[in-house]
Amino acid sequence: MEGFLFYLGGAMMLLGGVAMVASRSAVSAACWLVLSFLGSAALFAALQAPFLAVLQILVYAGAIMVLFLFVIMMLEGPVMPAEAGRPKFWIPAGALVPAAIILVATARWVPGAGLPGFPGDLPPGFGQPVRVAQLLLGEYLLAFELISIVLVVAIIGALALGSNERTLPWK
Amino acid sequence: MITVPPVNWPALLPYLVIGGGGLVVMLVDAFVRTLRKDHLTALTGLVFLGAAIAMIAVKPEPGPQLGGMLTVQMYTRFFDFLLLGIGLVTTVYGSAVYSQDGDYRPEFYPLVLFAVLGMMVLVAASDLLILFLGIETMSLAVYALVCGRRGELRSSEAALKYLLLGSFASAFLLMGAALLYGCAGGTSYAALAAVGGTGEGGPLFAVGLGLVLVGFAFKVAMVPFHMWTPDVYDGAPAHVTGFMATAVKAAAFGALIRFVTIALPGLAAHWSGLLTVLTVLTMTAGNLLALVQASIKRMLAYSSIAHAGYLLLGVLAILAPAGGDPGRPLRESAVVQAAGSGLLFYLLGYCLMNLAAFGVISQLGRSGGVEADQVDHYRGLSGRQPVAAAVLAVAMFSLAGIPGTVGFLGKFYLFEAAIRAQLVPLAIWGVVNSLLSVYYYLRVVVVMYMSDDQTEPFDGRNWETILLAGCLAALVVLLGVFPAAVHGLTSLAFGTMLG
Repeated sequence: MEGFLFYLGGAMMLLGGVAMVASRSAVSAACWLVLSFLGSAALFAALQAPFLAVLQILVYAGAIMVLFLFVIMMLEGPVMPAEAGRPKFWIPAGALVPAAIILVATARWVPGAGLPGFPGDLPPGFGQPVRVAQLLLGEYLLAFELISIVLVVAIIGALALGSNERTLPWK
Repeated sequence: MITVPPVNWPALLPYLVIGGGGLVVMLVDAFVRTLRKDHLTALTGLVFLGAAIAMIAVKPEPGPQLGGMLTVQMYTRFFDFLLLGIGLVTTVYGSAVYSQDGDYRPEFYPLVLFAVLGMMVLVAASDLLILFLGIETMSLAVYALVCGRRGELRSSEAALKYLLLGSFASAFLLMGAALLYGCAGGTSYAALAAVGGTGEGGPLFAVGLGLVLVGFAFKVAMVPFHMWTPDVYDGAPAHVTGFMATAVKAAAFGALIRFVTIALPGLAAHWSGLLTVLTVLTMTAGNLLALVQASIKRMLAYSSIAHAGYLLLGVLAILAPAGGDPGRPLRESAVVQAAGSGLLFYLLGYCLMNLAAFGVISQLGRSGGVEADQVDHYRGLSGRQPVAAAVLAVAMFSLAGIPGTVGFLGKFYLFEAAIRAQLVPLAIWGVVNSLLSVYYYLRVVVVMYMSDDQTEPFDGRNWETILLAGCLAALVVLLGVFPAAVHGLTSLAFGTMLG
């Protein structure tokens, strides 16, 4: 089962990533990104971490994507012709995915070619919210704090580059 | 129950001072309405000095911190002091620029502080995760600093190029780190060393290492990954270019040296072939392209690439003896010790002379919207501004490696270590390269002193900048004549890293 989820999620992420880069309009690129996020949620599910899978969908595919679309809308960039000149390779790529899924799904019943499951027994509490919190605020505390600094720097940088003198709220 | 790993507050104090100081400077800038420009400069300077005092006054127990995420030792403290010094000098240069012309950028101050924090973390990292976060903190701050002039096309172009290529390089580093994690089952340097030492990593381990190397190569501007350097150095304001040429390079080399010696001591044989090619390419291409530049900032950009090549020669000298005898620990080798201390000495000298040069470029000011960029703009500078011309001349002599300056001794230590590590052809090639470089460095001196053209429009004067650049030039000469104390220090610092 884990093997099936792995290949399914991997295919979704690949397809979503390639299509995101290839799409001409920012909005459809953002929508393809959702597919990629859903694929990574499937990977977390395959890793026996349902909490992270749900978070991935709620936070990334949900909240952050809404923010992305909001920003795209606010920027009001030049609307690119969505269809003109679109690369056509996504059609065979899209056709490959169901084929791959069928292949993966049927491989289970081919003797000697079964998909590997999750090896061994999991430690108690694996993938539970408690364990995630322990890792985040225990072992990886420094990384957690550094990420907040990275975000502050990114906000300062974005504000400095994106604003012009007249629109700064405090001037 | 969450168990936080034991926190050694004294060891982390400098990082907390810089990080907290960055936040305070940012908030003061945003909310204090009666603020004058020089208040922020003073506050930023105080934060840098506070962090330096915290390092001198509080002597922590050296060793791994926070469950092995960071390592604090004399080696990292050496880089911390160097980076704090560069940050302080850059702050003074920057505030001088902002007082000269109207375009005031208050975000400069917190960004410099956060960039220095990222660099300090990068050098001290003992885990790929922290390494990556250090690089990102540093890079994001520098991307924004590069765009130092709002609405100026060249500056914006430089920032965009650096952002796109830098993000790409970060993605390579991250992919490599993920592959290494998959092979080693952990991201700490110790876990990598355990797998790398046995040679059980397999092809994925090698691919992961290659990708991490690409990430480093981008940051230190090794040759196939150097394309961004001239445009970005040229487009950024001179005080920011000086910061990038010195602090970013020093931090990236500090982390690279720790990475190859701590995480990959047994893998020298796999690395050294690849690194030899990169070293030769970097030295040669940097020097050849610098020869033909008419712009002094582009010339210094290519010169910084060439200097990265000399530094890589030192890294190779560290790796070479271990390749010959894999079982022997690095710390027992006198050659490794010589190469390591030579590298640190060279980095220190390189930072001093580049900061002095960029100080002079920055203080000449702007005319018609551009900085004193072309070599021709320096025509007859000795007549108009004798002190500035003398400082720039000392910096150029030192960059060229003329005896009596720190640049000569740095190269001497590096090439000597390379010869002792039996890298004789490479050392000879390095000497040939540095002879080549004399031409383009001395061209600037010739233009300044052998011409009495007084019509150039660039005649900005700023006593703070020129005083500071003068002190740096004095240090360049002082260390070039009396290197013993500092060389002993770098030797000691490198020794602590090997354990």
